[in-house]
Amino acid sequence: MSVIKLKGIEKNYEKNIKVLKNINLTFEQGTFNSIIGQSGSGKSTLLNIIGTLDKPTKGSLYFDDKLVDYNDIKSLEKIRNEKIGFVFQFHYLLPEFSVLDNVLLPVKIKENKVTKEKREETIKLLNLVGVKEKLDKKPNQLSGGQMQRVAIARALINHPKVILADEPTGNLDSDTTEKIYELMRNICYELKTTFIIITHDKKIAEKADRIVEIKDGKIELDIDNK
Amino acid sequence: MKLGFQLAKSFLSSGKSQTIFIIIGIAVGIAVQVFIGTLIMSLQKSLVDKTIGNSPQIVIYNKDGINYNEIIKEINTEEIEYISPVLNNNIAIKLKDEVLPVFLKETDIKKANNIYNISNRKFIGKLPVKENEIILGTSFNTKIKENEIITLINKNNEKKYKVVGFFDLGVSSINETFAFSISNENLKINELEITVIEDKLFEVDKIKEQMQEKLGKDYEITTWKEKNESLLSGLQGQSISSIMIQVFVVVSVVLAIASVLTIMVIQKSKQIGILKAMGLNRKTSMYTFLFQGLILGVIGGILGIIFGYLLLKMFTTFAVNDDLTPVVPIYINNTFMIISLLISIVAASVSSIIPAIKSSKLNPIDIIRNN
Repeated sequence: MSVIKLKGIEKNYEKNIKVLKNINLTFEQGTFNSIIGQSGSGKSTLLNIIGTLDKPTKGSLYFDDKLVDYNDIKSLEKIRNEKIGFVFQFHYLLPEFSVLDNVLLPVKIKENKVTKEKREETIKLLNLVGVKEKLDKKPNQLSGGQMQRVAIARALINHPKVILADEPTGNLDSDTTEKIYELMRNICYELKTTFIIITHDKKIAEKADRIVEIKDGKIELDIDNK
Repeated sequence: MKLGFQLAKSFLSSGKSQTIFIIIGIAVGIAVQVFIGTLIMSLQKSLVDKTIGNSPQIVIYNKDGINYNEIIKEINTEEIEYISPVLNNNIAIKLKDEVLPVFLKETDIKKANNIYNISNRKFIGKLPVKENEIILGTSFNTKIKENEIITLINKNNEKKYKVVGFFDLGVSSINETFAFSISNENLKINELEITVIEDKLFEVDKIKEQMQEKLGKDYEITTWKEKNESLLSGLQGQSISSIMIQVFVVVSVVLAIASVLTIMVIQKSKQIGILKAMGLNRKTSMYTFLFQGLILGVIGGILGIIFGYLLLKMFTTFAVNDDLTPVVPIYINNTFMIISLLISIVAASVSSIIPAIKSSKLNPIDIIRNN
């Protein structure tokens, strides 16, 4: 079953710079996908469009076979909150909040309150990503790898169908990178969450179920790697 | 809304020194507003008290005489504090070698005392209790002694009185001419002297209109406002300048909060961008800044009122006359304090509107793309 479908997506910036050219892609539920490409190839723009953060110049985006309406801001906010989890290269945890509260932020945005059950679930999730003992700490008291684990937990808390990750290990050493990928893969198969991950590291990309290579705004390669 | 409040609280507490500075800024502004406002109000109250506080504020006169009981039925007594029926006589005191003009008020001395507050001011002797006893303005004391028997004369007759006291009403023209004696119960009266309750002091013209309507044109009604027009215009001028100062103080408080919160939007744009990428709606992102304004306004306002109160205390302690009484007796008005707090809260909330709109318009992609 397809979770995300991109149909004829194009993105132009000022002065007619074409960043994405006629992208057609479909992502299935519970798959682990990687998008690779050189810097400036348009892979981050593509991820931002999939995440509804950026609006394509042309083409359509479907979530669960439903067309995304960019003029309906409320529905965009709902999709971002409930269907997508973001993991960025620079973790983007809020320094004002503790680890636990950072992970609970999407819950508060969705429901405006945190139940006891949700709090317990968050602690379990922090345990799953291996930072349970840090739940009262502020992000600046954690290492880079720990912060990224918290960011993954935060992306997962609302049980989204898709996790979008832009160079999630770009700032981490190779050992930590390997551990984070293993974690994401396990979550993907256990929770049937679709992962779409941007990386420039071919070695890592090769461990995904599917590798999509973007070059000059076009799909250069689309390999099934199961 | 709850999340908006939580974010507001955490954003404010994350930049502690910035938050403390702006709260002190608001507090100082509101303190100045409270201080200036209270000082001018107290000054006016003390001026009004000194000038008209111990004299009738409305006088009803009829040259043909007044029927006290009938008038009381006609006029609205809710607004009246004290009322004193009087028979006024322009007569003279005959001394050995001179005649002194005197304005004799024959009255119920207890009622007159309510209005003129005679016995609580500088007063020598005692109040008259018998029909032939009289008290005179203190200026007469140079020529007449206490317990002296004097003769009062008018066109037709003479009457002897025993001087039992001298009063000082603080106004030389009164001290030089006024005399009070007890009225005969059956005496015809020609004037009613009235004081109104404090809240209605500045509404005497309205009260006069209502009285005039009911009593008709035979009655001559005068108010303190008509007798003190220059004082009134002085008070108005003072009020306007006080309000102007307060308005400018509040405007500067608004600008200070608005500028700090606008900077805060820029400082926290990364956080807002991330929250929006997680689905934070525009309303909540607005609440985040509106609540910050509200929190700053409430804390700053409360502190401002405390500072203002302390300033007023310092003023009454250090700005004193030779006899250690304050130069301006300060009257703390609780309603004014509450209004100042509300002004601070409203000003802070209003000044957070533009930053709130700015934050609601922040596009998460700009933050993500520019890292």
